[in-house]
Amino acid sequence: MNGDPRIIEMLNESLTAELTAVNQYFIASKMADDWSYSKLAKEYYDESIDEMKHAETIIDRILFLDGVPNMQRLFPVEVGESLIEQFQLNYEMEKRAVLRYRAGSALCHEASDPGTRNLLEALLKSEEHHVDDAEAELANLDQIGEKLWLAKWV
Amino acid sequence: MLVCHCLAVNDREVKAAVGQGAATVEDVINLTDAGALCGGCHPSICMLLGEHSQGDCGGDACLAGSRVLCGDRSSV
Ligand SMILES: [Fe+2]
Ligand SMILES: [Fe+2]
Repeated sequence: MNGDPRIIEMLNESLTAELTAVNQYFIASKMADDWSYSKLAKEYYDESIDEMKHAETIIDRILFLDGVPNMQRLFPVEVGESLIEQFQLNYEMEKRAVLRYRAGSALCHEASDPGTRNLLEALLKSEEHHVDDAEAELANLDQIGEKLWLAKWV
Repeated sequence: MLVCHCLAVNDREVKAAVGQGAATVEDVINLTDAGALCGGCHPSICMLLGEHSQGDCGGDACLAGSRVLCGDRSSV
């Protein structure tokens, strides 16, 4: 079914962001594991898979709208050089995802595409959950300090 | 943060180059090696040049006049 080109473009930009997130969480997981923070490595691993599932729903939607999913474009993959820097970079990425899906949802309303809008809102909910978890962790870091915070991820 | 994944150059090294007067991606390549190989980090370098930038990263997005893919997150 022929989709609105603006919707397909927005979905492709979202796909780029999701594919970037897959890689960013995956390398963060592998580096955390290498630094022996195996609990955080497991969390990031699961998040990476979540982001891949987000990518899948977007790819399916673009194909349904007769667009071409762009699989070869990524935003900069932001790799922190410490556990805390990685955590902050991942949090910033999640906040951008929330803003992107809010804007995407508004575009769907404008283009009268409630199907795509429903899909984006499900993704938005998942990203808001990621942001919420990250904010709780950053508040916790602030309260207990770096050493204790790092210790709980070993 | 690691900016150039090919040659392992971080943001502090790129910012130091900007402090030394780098104003284009080419300048950063000459001063730090960041961006000398695959070019995937040119948008990140472009973003770190920020207001000092006197060029563009040469990437598709820059050439198309879109700052979105070039790391300017203000509109995303
Ligand atoms: Fe996602
Ligand atoms: Fe996410």
